[in-house]
Amino acid sequence: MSEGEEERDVIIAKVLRFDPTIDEEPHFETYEVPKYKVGRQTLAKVLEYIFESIDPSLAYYVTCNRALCNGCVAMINGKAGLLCMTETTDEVTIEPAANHRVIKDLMVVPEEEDRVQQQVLKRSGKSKYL
Amino acid sequence: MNNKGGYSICTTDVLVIGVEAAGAYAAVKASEDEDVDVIAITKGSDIARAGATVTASHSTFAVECQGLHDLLGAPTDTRDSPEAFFEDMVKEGKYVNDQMLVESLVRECAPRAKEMESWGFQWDKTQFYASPGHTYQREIFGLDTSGPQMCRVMKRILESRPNSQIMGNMLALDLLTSGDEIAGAVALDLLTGELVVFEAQCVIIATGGAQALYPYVSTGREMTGDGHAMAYRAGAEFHDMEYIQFIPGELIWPPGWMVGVQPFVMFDGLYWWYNGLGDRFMRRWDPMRIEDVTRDIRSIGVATEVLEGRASEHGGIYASFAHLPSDVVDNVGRTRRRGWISSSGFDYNPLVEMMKEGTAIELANYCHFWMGGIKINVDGETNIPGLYASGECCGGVHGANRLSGGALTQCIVQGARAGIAASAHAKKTSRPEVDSEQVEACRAWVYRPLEREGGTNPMELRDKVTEFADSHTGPVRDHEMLEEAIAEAERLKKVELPHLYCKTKNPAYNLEWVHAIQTANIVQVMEIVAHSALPVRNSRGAHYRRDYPDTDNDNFIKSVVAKQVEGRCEVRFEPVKITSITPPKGRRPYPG
Ligand SMILES: Cc1cc2nc3c(=O)[nH]c(=O)nc-3n(C[C@H](O)[C@H](O)[C@H](O)COP(=O)(O)OP(=O)(O)OC[C@H]3O[C@@H](n4cnc5c(N)ncnc54)[C@H](O)[C@@H]3O)c2cc1C
Ligand code: FES
Repeated sequence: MSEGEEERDVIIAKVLRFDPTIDEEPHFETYEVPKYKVGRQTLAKVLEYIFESIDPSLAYYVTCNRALCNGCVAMINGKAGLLCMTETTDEVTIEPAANHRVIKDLMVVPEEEDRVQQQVLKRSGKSKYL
Repeated sequence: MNNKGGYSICTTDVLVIGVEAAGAYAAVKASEDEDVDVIAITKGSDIARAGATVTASHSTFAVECQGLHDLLGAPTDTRDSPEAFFEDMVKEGKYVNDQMLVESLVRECAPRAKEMESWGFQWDKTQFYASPGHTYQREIFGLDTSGPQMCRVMKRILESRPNSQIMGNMLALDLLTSGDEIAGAVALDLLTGELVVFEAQCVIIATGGAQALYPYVSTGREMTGDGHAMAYRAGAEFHDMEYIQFIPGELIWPPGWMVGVQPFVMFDGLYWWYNGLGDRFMRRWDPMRIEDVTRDIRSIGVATEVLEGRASEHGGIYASFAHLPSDVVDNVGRTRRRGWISSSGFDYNPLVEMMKEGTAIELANYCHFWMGGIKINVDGETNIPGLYASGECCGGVHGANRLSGGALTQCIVQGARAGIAASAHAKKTSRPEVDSEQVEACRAWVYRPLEREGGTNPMELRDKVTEFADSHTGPVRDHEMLEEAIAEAERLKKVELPHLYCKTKNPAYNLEWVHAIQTANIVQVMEIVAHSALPVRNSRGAHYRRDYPDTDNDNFIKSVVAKQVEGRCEVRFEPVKITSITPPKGRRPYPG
């Protein structure tokens, strides 16, 4: 923040939303998230707030919360990064990781793993009651 | 909505639920026999994407030094032996360990460490540690990392074998039985929101601990005791569920600095602790060593301040550097390889600067490890034929407290045992028929939150449960708290869980729904913990009863076994399994 600029008390987070089972096209939604007065606010925390307090249909993946699992990789302001380690900016744009199949919103699976698993399910997939 | 339809069926010989240290090791050993098909499922998106193992990065395996020396060629202290390791584990476990399980751990740890090396796991053979409780320097690290490296090695093996398969995004829901035997499990394919039925002669549960019963965790938040809950519902027995390890290492204020367990690791030994009244309360527990005591005593000290209304502003205790001149803090930073930057590259300098200026941070207990769990024998067998368990979800081996490094070792030894035993069992039994009524019963409870038009928000209920569990089944308990916890678990099961409701109706990757399922599981775990802790009227290791503060070796060197009988949690005492160390007698003030 440059001097003289008024301190904002919200973060404006633009998140690319897409549920392939319902939506034809991905679209951005914008959320206002209260900004921490002290401490570090990571994007994992921003998304957690959106999920728990604004829109529980948001899908994203955060687990280890310490840069060990790589599960939370996403495009942050246009660049690949980890949601759990990246501190938010006052305005932030979050999109799903590139080169992955989008399951929903920010939840993606790598193309290769996905292909193998779908094959197993198909191979053994005689279904009952259908 | 696709919740009324059918389900896919996957058939296999051995199904492993949870695929990190214990589950992956089990899957590797079970699939060594080419004729045995193994599927290992995880609710994470892949191996190393959930669970404690991936977070145990800069972590140690405890392996007795003779074996390290003879098998791995590591230059360690050869005065150590399996017997010496055994003695340390039983002493630190406060004599309630299942000594048969300990025996197997101390004898098989070195051969397993060697086996891992033959698979490509690299050990760091230059540094060895002896954390408190270890007589000799028998803790050894993986060369780059421990847990993550192990997952990488196992993933490569499992993916290279035609008879083994890892499946991610599969949330196991319930076990299936046929008569008295295991018949498989039902899981939710998180990506589609559809049920998958795994038909299998053997199931190995390796789902880790239930840390997320509490508000703060050292793991990821997905450790919700799902394996415990499904095993309990299927009639499995539990061993000593009263012993849960907490550490006052959660940096609750200022927010956002809690990256893994790093702050605790980095600042430990430097700060002094104060309660909300400014009193250095740990003096009451040990006037000489003050904060410098073992983890169990620290967590009990902190929990006591919080329970008795002397917490810091945000509900923990204060930790401060103010007693240290700021140039001393700088010098401590300089003596470290990375200064105040963590091993994962995270920069703590701004926080250190703030603390140097005299501001305290606030700490609370996080739940770190489960000593109690599913009851197994040395081969990982449970009381249900065909059902096996291994790793942190199992009880008994650590007794009332675990030694550092003992958990990863537990995973490799028990994982191997369960994998080998399940593989052999699967070969000689035929696949039982799956009872579709059981599948439908599972579907009914699982899909209900999606069908309801209103009710309880899963995340709000989760927060209420974890807060309640923290104040009633945390490190400090008493009769009244535990009675209340039993009543609360019953109320939650009758009144709250049947009203769980998801606003989000689409079943595909529905996190709100996942929380609903997981919240039901933590409630189940809380019930088992409270029932197990209630009759243990003494304080021992990680179980502190403020109404019975002595360690009573005359009456409570016993194993607590809990099990569901006709919808109720029944608890009985069993003699501790002793092979070579006879526990002491007498009653002493805690810590005994
Ligand atoms: C920060 C940290 C540091 C540690 N340091 C050490 C150390 O130095 N030395 C040591 O010995 N130990 C250490 N531990 C403890 C040790 O890491 C764990 O006890 C051990 O890794 C547990 O392994 P596990 O395979 O039993 O379970 P986990 O690694 O917890 O794996 C559980 C698996 O079960 C899966 N799962 C759970 N529920 C379901 C479900 N419903 N359906 C499908 N899958 C499910 C998860 O997705 C995951 O794959 C540490 C732990 C932590 C958190
Ligand atoms: S959550 Fe694991 S890397 Fe971010």
